[in-house]
Parts: sequence; C-alpha cells; structure tokens
Amino acid sequence: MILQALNDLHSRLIAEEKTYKIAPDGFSVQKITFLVVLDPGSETWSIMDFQDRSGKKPRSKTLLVPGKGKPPGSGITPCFLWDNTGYLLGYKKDDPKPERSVETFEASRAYHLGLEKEISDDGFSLLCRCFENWSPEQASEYPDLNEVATGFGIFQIRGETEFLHNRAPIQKWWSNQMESSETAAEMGICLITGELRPIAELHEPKIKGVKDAQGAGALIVSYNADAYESFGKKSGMNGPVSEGAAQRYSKSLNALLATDKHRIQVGDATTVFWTEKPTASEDCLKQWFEGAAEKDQSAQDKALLQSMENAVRRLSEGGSPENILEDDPKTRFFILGLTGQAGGRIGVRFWHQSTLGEFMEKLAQHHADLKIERQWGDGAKRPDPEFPKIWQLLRQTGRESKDVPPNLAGTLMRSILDGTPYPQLLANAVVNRIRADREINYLRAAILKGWLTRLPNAKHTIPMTYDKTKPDPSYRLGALFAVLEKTQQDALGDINAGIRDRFYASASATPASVFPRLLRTYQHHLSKASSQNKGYQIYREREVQSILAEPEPLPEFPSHLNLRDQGLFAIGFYHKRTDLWRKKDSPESKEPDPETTN
Amino acid sequence: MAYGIKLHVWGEYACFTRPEMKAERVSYDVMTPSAARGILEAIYWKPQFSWKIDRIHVLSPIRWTSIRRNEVKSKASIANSKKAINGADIDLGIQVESARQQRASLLLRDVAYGIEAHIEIRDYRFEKSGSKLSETECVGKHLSCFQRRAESGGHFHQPYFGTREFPVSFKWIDQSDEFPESTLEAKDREKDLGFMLHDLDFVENPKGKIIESNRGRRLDAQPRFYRAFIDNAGVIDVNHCLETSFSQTAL
Repeated sequence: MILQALNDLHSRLIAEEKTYKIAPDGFSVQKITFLVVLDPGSETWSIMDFQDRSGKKPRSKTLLVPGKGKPPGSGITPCFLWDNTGYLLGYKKDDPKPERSVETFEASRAYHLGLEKEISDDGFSLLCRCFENWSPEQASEYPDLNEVATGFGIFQIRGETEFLHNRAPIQKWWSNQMESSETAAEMGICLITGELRPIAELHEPKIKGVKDAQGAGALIVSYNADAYESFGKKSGMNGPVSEGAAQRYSKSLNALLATDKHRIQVGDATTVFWTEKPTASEDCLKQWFEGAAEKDQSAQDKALLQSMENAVRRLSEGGSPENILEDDPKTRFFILGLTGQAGGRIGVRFWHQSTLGEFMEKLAQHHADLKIERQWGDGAKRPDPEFPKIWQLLRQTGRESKDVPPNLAGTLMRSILDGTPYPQLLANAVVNRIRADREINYLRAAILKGWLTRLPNAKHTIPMTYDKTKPDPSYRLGALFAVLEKTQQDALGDINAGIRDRFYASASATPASVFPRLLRTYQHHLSKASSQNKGYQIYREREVQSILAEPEPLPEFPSHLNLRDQGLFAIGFYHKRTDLWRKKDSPESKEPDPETTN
Repeated sequence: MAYGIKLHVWGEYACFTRPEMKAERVSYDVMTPSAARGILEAIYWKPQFSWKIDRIHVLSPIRWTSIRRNEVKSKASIANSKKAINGADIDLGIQVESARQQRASLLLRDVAYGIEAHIEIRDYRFEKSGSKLSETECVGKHLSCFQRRAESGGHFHQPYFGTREFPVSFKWIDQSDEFPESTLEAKDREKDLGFMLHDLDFVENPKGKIIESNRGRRLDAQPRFYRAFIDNAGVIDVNHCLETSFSQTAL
C-alpha cells in the first residue's frame, strides 16, 4: 500500500511543478556546481563556476539531467552529458589515484565519441571535438576547479542559453534510448501496477533526507545481504517492482522529504504526510504538529494555525467534518513515518491512510482527551498551550531531549491516528519524572488525564478542573496533599524543601505510611498560619474535611497505589493546586470564611 | 463450498511480510492466502492433495506495533556444507559479531481470521501404495482426517502467522456454523488493499534455484499477485478477487 500510494502521488506532483521538482522517467535531479563551456571556434572548452553565490556559502544549483543518477560502486560508469570532474576532465581535487581519474576521463570520452554517429546534432559533434582536444593536464590552468570539484558539471555552447543536454534532438534521442533499454531487464509482474514489466534490480533514485539514514541516500526496498534473499532470487527480483514504478515512488518520496510543508520529525521517525489532492489542510498540518515558537511564526503561519485551531475546537465540540473543513473531508490522507536503520536501510515506523475527515476527527479526539485546566492562562508570560504538540508531550518523559525513549514517538503517533489507548510507557515515564523532579505541570497532567481517559474499562471520567464529587481515593489524596502543601507555604513562606520535595514520591506511592505524619505537621502549620487570621483556620479545616468526607467518607489511607492511581493522585494534586492558586489571585486573598467574619 | 473447511485462527502477533519490504519487515494489512495455506498445511497435508483458499474473514481490527530485533545477515552456505560432507575441515558456523544486523519490523497485533478452503486432489490414491478412489471418497477421507486433527489440536509443526515466531491458535468451525462476528472497523470495510501476494507458483525451469526434494526437478518460484478487496462484512473473496485482478486498469 505504501509504495502504491507513493506511485499514485507521482502524477499529482508532476502536475504541480512549481512546488515539487520531480524528474520525469529517465531523468534525475542533480546538484550542478560547474559549467563546461564549449567554444565553437577553437573546438576547445573552458570551465566556469556555476554555483549560486548569493548567500553566505556558495550553493550548487539543482537541475534536471538525463540518467538515473551516479551509480555507486567502484566500476567506471560515465554518465551522459553530465558527470563529476574526474570523468569530464580527468582531474580531481587532492586526487589519491590520478591514474584512475585519467581512466574515467578516457571512458567518458570514448562513451561520448561512440555515440556521435547515433546523435546527429552539431552541438554534440562540437562536444566530441572538444573531448578530443582536451587532456587532463590542462586542468591545472584552472585554479578555480578546486572549489567546484565536489559537484557535477554540465555542458553549454558559448553564446547559447540552453544547456547541451536540453537541446531538442539530444532529448529525443535520450527518450528513445530509455524505452529500448528497459527491455534488457528481467520481466515479471510488478507488485505495484500488476503489469508484466521489466523488473528493477535496484530502486533508484535513493531516498534522501531520512534522519539517521545514509546521507547519500538509502533504500526502503533493498536486499543487501544473503539473509534477505529468498527462493534463490537476487536483489530486486525478491520484491518485483517495475522500473517505472520504482522510479516514480522514489521520486515522489524524495520530493515529499525535500518539501518542508510535508515533513515533520516525530521523535526519531522522519514523517511525511500528504493528501491525494492539494488541500488547504495540508498546508496547515506542519504548523500544527511542529509549529515554531510564537515569536518565530510568520503572519501566514499564524493564520494557518488559527484556522486549524478553530477547526479542531469545533470538531471536539461535536461538529461534523463536512461543515467545518474547507476541503472535502473524503479526500484521502496518508502519513508515513520512516527511520534510518542499521545496515543503511530505511525502516517503516508507522503508516496510516484514511480520509481527511477521519484524521481531523481523531486529532480532535486526541486534544479533547488531553484537555485539562491550564495552569498558566492566556495572560501569563508563558501561557500553557491549548493544543499541546507531540514534541511537547514527549519532552515531558525525560530530563533532557535525549532521554526520551526513541520508539515512544511512533507508538504515540499511532495511538493518536488510530484512536487507541496511549502507550503505557508514556504514562510510566511521566509518573517517574514527577517523582524525580516533583513537578506536576499542565502538560504532565494532560498526558495522565489522556492516558486514564483512554484506558479500556475506564470507570469514571476525569474532569477538567477540580471536582469535589469525584469519589476516587487517590484523586482526593492528591487534592489533600495540595492543601497540606499550601498550608505549609502559608505558615512558613517559601522554604528550601517543603513537603512536596520530601514527601511527594512516598505520598503518591504509599499513602498509608506518609499521610498520618503529614497531618500531624499540618496541625502545626495551621496554627501558625492562622495566628494572624482566625478565619483562615476554620476555612482550611473545612476544606480538609470536605476532601476526606465528601462525596463519601474515605475509609482509610490505601497502603499502596498502582500506576493508574498514581496518575489520579497527580491529577488531583494539579487540579486542587490550580484551584487554590486561582483563589489567591482574586481580591479575597486572605481567604477569610464569609460566614465567620460578620 | 460443498466439500470445504472452516477454521478460526487467532494470535497475538502476525507478520505477513511484504516482499518489497523484506529487510525491514512491513506486514500486509491482512493475511495472505499463502499464509492461510501454510496454517492448513501445518495441521494436515499430504503430497496427494493441495489446499486452495476460498475466503479469508478478517475478524479483528487492524492494529500495528513496531519492534527491532538483532539478527544475522548471512545464511548457511551450501558450498561449504558440501565440502564439509566430503571431509574438508571447514567451520560451518556464523560469527555473530561480524554478521550482526538490527532489523525493524512493523507487525500486526491481536489478529483473528476465519479461513475457508477446499482441497484439490493431485493423486487419487489415498496412500502411495493404495488403490485409486473416487473424487468424493478421496476428498471425504482427507477432510475428515483434517477435521479430527483440527478438533484435537494435532499439527505437524506449530502453525504460524507469516513467520515462525508468531504462533497460531486454531479452532474447527463446522460448515453449518458461522465465524464469530467481525469487529473490523468501518473504515477498513469496503476497502481496496491494492496488489497483495496471492501465493507462489513453482514452475519448472532447468535453471531454477529450487530443487524439489522428492523428484529432483529444478523449479523457479514466481510470485503471483492479486488485487484484494475487503467487503462490508470483512470478507475477502479470494477467488473473485483473483478473477477481477487484472481486468481493471492498473492504479
């Protein structure tokens, strides 16, 4: 399905040539750094730098050239009308083996001279004369050559604007060549198109741009060791794909990876997504998944993000995709996650195809499940995000970015796309982080809420703000802990190690051994805090009472809480603490009980 | 099918490896007829007949998981084995440290399928030394043998879902009974799965790399693909899909 979807995508990308530089069959896109200019008069050539010098560093220009790509390996393989300096000029920068460069030059020369009769074009004939008149020693006359030696070069006749390989007779000859050379390969039924076609041995062009994979290009379909071959078949025959289909899917994937709006990084998986037709949602999605910090966003980005947020908000409130999305919700939507594997191959981490409507619904469901009261609202310096991004969620699982478990991203992405329970690893990691650094922030509370909501057999729903009718003991204990912490703070002010630093981990795991002690010290804090304000004591006592007694009396402190209960504890703590802090910001900041103060 | 069987199979994991993604395994969405045939052959098979898969019922939602495993990149060498048989002092083992490869796999999770199949007789003698029987007698004998084994759990080797490390639990379903209700999600019903591997066709080829063990013929394994389609009830009608595979225009 994956290769088939990419194959289908090819025709769409070809049609949008402004955005995607896709090479048609038999051609490829290469980085050109130098130009060899042919002089019709003297039948010699000179070399010019072709790089783009407008930026800080000179950059190569990418152009369409005939041929699939420079074949790897140690054989001598001249390319048609483009090549590196070794083949075209017989010279390489800091050459370890000058004789080989001479050999490659001679091979290239022989190759082009041999074709002179077949290609009856005076431009090509001029090229052959220049080839004959050049010898590798002449390269020393061009000191600039060292700068351009890492790229490829093409030909141009002095005075003409088009490149040699773009001249019409040459293009025509090349296309004819391509059709006849296809039949040299073994025939078989292509598993993408179902047609009887010559089967590709190697799938070119290689896929570039997957993180942790080979920079020069890696393959998804490869059989580069004995263990991967079956039934005595060699390389490409193990998974028969026709030459044409192989080129098309590779080019589509390369184009997606090269285009910024289609590509995001989810943990260690380089992810691409696309819709079968161009859609407005496709443009927004990158901002949604990976958006830059507020201040770095351009106005256009902000507008896209806004429209996306509105869509998700309305979907999570129960709207239907038909009315909300600008695009047709039945447009097919694809998302593919790739990782670089050992052995120079690319592995598929996840693959999902559905319709745009379904995808948006799943996204809205994900955010609805995570939704919890924000600790820092819109007025604060750094407000909590209303729609947390995936990387923000993942970042909560480790102390530093590199501590985040690498495969968690793929699993989390899959659970968002499928609407299935969030990975337990995620909840586990977050609870461990909370115990380690005693910080329960908005994102961590949201993750735990989402995980608990999606657990199979979830009995009670998790509210968005503090709910005193929720009977779960662990939730109430978390709230109680928040109250005890607040009391200590009111009594002693800011101290180095409050009860949260000392006791949170043990309180959330083994309440029975910790809470009695905490309640004893709470009494002392209470009397100290209410020394100025009698109403405070009554108010606080009433609060603690309501937690312990409502909605039903807490029978005893549980001796041990499991992962699910520890999550509830954290959420209860977060809810109550946000609640307490909010009250403090309001005018009645001393919290006197209105009933006692007459 | 008048003389067919129904078998309910399920398991925790499955990997019906796509041939094009073999090094880093990616599974097909559903079971291939080739894998279904493998399960039936593990329970009961003789060279006198061959299994033909009629229908595959997809009974559980399609769920995925991804794992990485350390494997080796080389296979046992036939040439070396021959030399060793002839007495040469050759080490036939694989040095793991130099041959290690980490391979990722994208697998299916919690799978359940219903297989409907029938048999085609190739040799009408029930046993090699027996006499020829009529079609109905022959088919009846083989199928009742299969039924006994399926009901009691007998098998030649553990049936597996695509690769041997994912075992299959199976249950005999009577022809008059139905499979359990399919919990396949709505978005996966009425779905065109594209070209999937149907099975391998072993054709005779003097230059083939596969040698038939009983007759010594040289064979070549040619994959056959078909365009699979899951209907609204979660059923893949294999025969129908085979017939209509190539009449549609590709893509």
